Amino acid sequence: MDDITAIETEMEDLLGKLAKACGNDGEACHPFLFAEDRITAQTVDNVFDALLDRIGLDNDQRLIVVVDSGGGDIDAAYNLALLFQRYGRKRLTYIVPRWAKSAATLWVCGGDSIMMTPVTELGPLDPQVTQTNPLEKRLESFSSLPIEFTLELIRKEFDQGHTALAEGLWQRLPFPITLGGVKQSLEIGKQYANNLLASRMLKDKKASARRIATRLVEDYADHGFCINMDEARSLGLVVDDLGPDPFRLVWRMHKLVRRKAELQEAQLKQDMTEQLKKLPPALLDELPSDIVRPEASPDTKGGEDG
Amino acid sequence: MVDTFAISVRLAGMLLLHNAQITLEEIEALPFVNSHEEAKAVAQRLLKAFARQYPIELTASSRQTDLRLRLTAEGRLEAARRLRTTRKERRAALQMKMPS
Repeated sequence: MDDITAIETEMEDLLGKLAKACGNDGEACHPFLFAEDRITAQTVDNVFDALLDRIGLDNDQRLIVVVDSGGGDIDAAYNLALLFQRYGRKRLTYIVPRWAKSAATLWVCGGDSIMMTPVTELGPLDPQVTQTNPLEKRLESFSSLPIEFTLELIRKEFDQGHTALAEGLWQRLPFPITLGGVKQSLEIGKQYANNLLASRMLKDKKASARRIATRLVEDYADHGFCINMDEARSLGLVVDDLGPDPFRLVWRMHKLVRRKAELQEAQLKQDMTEQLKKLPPALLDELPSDIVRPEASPDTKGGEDG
Repeated sequence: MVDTFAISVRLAGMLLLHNAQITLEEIEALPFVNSHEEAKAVAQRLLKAFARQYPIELTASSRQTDLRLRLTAEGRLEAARRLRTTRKERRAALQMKMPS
């Protein structure tokens, strides 16, 4: 725990130095660090509380936000983007030392500019859906993008007379309304991205905002695609270079973020071990029998693609 | 060789029975689970096994980011009933073993 406190103290110090290093001509600015692997609805509450603590309800200075996140809930990310636009009315700059993928990419699209390092990764915005397959009672994760491709594949199999294969594929699809909802989620990604881009970094280029939003949702073959500095610029996003001093500061911050996450994970494992020790042993007798006497090889292990 | 996957499934199952729910994050914090993918595999195995014996549901936040397995009200009653029965049986077995 002491290590975590020391890390947090150093991060605060680095944020103060970053505010000075990024302020042009002595311009005052507020720095803020967001470093959480996943954005959830709860994140919005936590971040708002942190902003109230650090800045108050309003801000008339430039805002610099360092983001390090793998993404998460797209609605929460959009809400965060709007919240930071409110706090960064004068000027809002996002700095991404290493990654702001998926929903975090949407969030940083709400700034006036994004500062990136040579190893920064943004990512596509096609929503990822995880749900239970009702036929097989198992979790499935997939992108919303290949739905049209899959329907076309089934149509082709029917047309070519491969009825059994087509029916087999059709039966394995999610419930039609769920499928429609998943497809519709692509539109939500586009709408959010367009709103954010058109309100700040591309406010005078509405057509570009629409084009970039569509590209971010539809044009990448995989959700993990690495959108680096050059790719982001070629898309049309407003990307600024970090000068050498700010770079050194945010890169050190990134290292500290990783170290803090490792320590927190170890702490979580330790807490979980303590919790397990307190469980009544009688629970073991109540587990489903095939868990207590597992099959030779679990048929589900490694079956998910994440 | 120790099957750490089977151990993780049992530990996660005990937690699910005890707390009536378990999140992917909690599964990821189990001693032998080392990644998000392993946690999902454990959750999947739990879902399949529990569905045969206890009413169980999978819930998630609006865009599926906060996944958790939860015993339904019926499932919680069933778990409590089974635990009570097991305790009674254990007590009875212990009494039988006690020298008269």
